[in-house]
Amino acid sequence: MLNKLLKHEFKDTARIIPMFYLISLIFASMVLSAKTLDIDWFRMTTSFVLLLLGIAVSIVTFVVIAMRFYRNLYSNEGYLMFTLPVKPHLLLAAKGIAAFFWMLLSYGVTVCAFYISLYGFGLTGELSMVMDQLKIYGMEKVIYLFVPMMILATLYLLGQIYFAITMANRPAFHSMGGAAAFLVFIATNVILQIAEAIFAIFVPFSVEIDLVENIGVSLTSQNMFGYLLESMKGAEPTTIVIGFGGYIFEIIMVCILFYVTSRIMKNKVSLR
Amino acid sequence: MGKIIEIIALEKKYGSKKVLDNISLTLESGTIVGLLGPNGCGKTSLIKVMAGLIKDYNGKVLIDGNEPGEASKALISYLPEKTYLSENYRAREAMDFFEDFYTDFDRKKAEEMFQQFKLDPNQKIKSMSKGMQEKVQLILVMSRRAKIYLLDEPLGGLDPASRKAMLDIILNNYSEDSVVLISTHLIHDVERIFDKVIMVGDRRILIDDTVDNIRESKGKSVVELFEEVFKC
Repeated sequence: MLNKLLKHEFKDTARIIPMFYLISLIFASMVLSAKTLDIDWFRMTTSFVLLLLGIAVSIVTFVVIAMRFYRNLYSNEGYLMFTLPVKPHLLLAAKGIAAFFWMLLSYGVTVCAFYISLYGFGLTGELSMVMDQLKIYGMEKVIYLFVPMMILATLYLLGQIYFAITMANRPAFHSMGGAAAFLVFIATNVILQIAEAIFAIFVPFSVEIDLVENIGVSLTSQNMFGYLLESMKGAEPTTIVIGFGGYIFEIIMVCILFYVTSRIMKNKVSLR
Repeated sequence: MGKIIEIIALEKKYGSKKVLDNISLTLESGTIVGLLGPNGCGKTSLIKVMAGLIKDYNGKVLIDGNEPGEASKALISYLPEKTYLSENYRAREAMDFFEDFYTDFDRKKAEEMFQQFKLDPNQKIKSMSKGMQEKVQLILVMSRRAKIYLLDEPLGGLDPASRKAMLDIILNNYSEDSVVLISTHLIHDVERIFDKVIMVGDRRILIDDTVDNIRESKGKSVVELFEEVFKC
């Protein structure tokens, strides 16, 4: 059944999201044409619009995904979805997989849009210089850390959004209407951020970046607390310590958020 | 005729407000049952519990021996009082959706009914009138060879001609060995088709009897009894 749910999920979401990719593609080709034709005002204008579009694509994709989750499961359409002969966790899985796919694709479009707009502004040389600097310090591979970080951050945010929308549709929140999901999301997010900060600071598992001798990155069993204490005292830092506890917390919370959401969908669903 | 739905001491609250109180009933295959009562008496909540849309209730609900869940949903063909099809769908896509998820969906039958009621399968749901949307939904629901049909206010908001068309769809397409539960407050139109009626009011069942028994023991029609029970 998951493949059928995925088929319909992709079919429905594909009605909207790729439109933004198409708009970005049109502006990207305008930037490249303007560069080739050497029309300065047109090149600058289209590059600026493409830069904004690059930012908007990822944000709009998230908004569309959140609205789709609410409309498809907790508005009138939920009367159809929750009476399908499928396990509720499959409904959540189909939504999560499709959303994750669109988010990764949107990040790709954002990166391409940024690069082409920088090209339009004539700033790709500066970008190469930054990469060269990273290479000098042997840190060019650090950039690859962004990929798992972005994946984790996306799953974490999706988990919070799905949890908030599902919680907000419990009878206790029915009287609050559409504001309930927003309020639950804010409350969940604040609580999780506090907990994540505590984990990041106190869990003795960190990345240490040596700033003095040959700049290098290594794992360490010290926590961030000592490093923060030294920084507050105004001591000249010789290393930067970044706590891994926060990321471990995020991985655990992604599992918990999706699990709790699926349990609520299975045992506590109560459509208005 | 076997028991297909069994409800024992069902209680449902929304916050502190109780909407169903100590409801017990059984429904048997091969019958058309009217679930009657004024607006807001708990008919929709009762149907939603059976359909598996409300899970936080007290009491016991058994659908063909199982609690509402994946197995029971495969047996139930449910028509809510709302339009539950995606507005972006064309009617043809809604048929695709039903065909994918319900093994008992008869696409040929659905297409024939679309033709019979002069509905265009390529028309978008959002461009249809409310009456057309309700017909499309009812066609989809009645094109399943289900064991249980739960129809929540299928006639609400329709003109008399459309009501007759909707009743024809129901009567001509339900499986003989299934149970059809129709919730309505417009009983003048449907009294003739019921084998049994359940009247709900004040959060509980007030009458649960066959139409024949009501006529014989009380000497009244269902409409007369309804007016007496729910007299203002």
